[in-house]
Amino acid sequence: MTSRNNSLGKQSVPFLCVKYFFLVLVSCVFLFPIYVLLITSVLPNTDVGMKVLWPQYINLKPYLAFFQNSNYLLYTLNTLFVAIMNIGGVCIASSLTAYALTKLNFAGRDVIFAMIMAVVLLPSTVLSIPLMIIYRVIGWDGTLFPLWVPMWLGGGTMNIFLVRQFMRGIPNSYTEAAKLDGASNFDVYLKVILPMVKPILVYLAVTGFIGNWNDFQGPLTYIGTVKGSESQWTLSLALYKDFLTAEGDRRANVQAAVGVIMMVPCLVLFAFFQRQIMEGISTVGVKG
Amino acid sequence: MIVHKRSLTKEEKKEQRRLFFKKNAPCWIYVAPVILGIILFTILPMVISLIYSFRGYYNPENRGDKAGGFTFDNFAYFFKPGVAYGLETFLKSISVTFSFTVLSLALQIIGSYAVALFLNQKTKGIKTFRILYYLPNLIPAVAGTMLWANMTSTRGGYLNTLLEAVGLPPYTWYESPKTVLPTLLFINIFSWGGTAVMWLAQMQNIPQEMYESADLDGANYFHKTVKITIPMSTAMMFYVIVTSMIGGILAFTNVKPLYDKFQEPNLNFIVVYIYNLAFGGGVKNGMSKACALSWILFLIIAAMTFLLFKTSKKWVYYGEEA
Repeated sequence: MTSRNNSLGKQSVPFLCVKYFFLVLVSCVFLFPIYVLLITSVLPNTDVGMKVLWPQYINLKPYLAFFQNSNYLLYTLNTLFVAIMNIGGVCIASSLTAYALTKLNFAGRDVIFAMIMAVVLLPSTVLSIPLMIIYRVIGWDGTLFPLWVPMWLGGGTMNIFLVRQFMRGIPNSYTEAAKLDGASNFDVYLKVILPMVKPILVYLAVTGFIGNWNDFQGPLTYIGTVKGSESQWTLSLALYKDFLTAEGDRRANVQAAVGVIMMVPCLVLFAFFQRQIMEGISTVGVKG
Repeated sequence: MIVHKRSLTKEEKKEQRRLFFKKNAPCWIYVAPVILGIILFTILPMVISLIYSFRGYYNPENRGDKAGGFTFDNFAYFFKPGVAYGLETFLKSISVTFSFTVLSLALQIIGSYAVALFLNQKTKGIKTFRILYYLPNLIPAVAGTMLWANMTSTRGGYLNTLLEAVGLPPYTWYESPKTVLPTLLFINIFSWGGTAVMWLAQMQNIPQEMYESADLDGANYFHKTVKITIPMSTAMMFYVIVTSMIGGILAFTNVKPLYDKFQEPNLNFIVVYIYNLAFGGGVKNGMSKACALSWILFLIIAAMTFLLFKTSKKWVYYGEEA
């Protein structure tokens, strides 16, 4: 079994050194934007836009500026609300729909699945303008509703598809056994199916949170285009509205600090659910 | 044996219908939300979009707009030269969107695949490096775009300061029409880590025995990559191509703030163009024209996706059971 030994790596020391050198070098390249974001966020005001590669001293006032601005507290709460409501919608609505499509037998099931598959590849962006017209009519323009209510109606067709793929792997004998014990359809969903699809739901919840937390196009179209809707802004929208001006250039350090603060929840989630995210990515790519 | 089918009496039909509902209605409750969602947030907007693109939409914020009879004007506008947001803008928008999509896709696939091959080795601490490579994808999109806008500034931006520090001449980045596309492609490099993680996930699903039997045949690293790793990654490759292509054509968050800041026609990607038509107020019946352009965009995406799926049968390997 010499080949096995080779492939498992009894490598020479110089070879290992070169390998690690390149691994670190590529890491430095990829981490460059994060490094600049951090550096910019602690620049003293006098250093902003002054051709500095390194701050004269570490200035934490930009972070203070975020926490002292009550508007930004509100934007944070808005963003958090939207992200959490989306998680709920994805987990509950998509799993219920996928459950019905895989484990229940009823008239019209295949038609409904075909309908879901027909819109799964339809990019929502091409519908954002007519959707805005609808939201204007029902008075949802300039509110947070457009950012989360649609998620509760079905939970997103792509999510349904992914959960369904996952559920198909669960043998029907599980659900039939539970039914023989007198469990209702909903009991089977809650007690048998839901615990078994937890991995894919965790993946969808975490990536859904990160996606909605950072979403820009939705808030800009449905809230940002409406005058007097400042109280409904999310962090992404506020960054765009507050800092994309000549005056904003002079506050590049505060802008970067907001970016760093926005990144923290995503980093924490990524750290906690790293294994599920990596596994989820492979499932999605293979089945999607 | 011949069974004579007796026509059912009214009572029996009623009973049948009752049983049918009794059996199916509880299940329909589960799928009712998704049907309602598709009707309200997909079919209804599509119908509205069709109506407005062929008639016109009265925009309360734009007093010149009014709805009229059936017309092709909203589509024809994009082929009319010499008007604001007309043919010239349309052609420019199409060309910048597609040159970015195609070039970034090609570079990203080659580059990120190389990174993944590089990361796909049994070395101590490799998991840490995988996480490090993925991290730039966690920068909030808007914050990232605006950070790059600051970094590429020719007046004290970080990149030119860095170039100066190592003795290289400054670059114009977004501030010259010629360097906009190269700058976008350069910045795209930092998202390769995320794609590399996807490749890696697939590479790790390749059965180890394949490599072991190749080793017995005396295959080297290059042979194993070309004959095993790459063919076994085609399913993921197809997924990455489809999603990146659609993502590139629909690019918005990574260009809209830049377009606003630099007012550069080379940054006027199709979706930015649609947005500015609808909400910019610079053109009459802008909402209707935005709906019309959304349909053109939709047809382009549908055609390209269809073509990709058509060709996929020739080169995508989905495993034995498929």
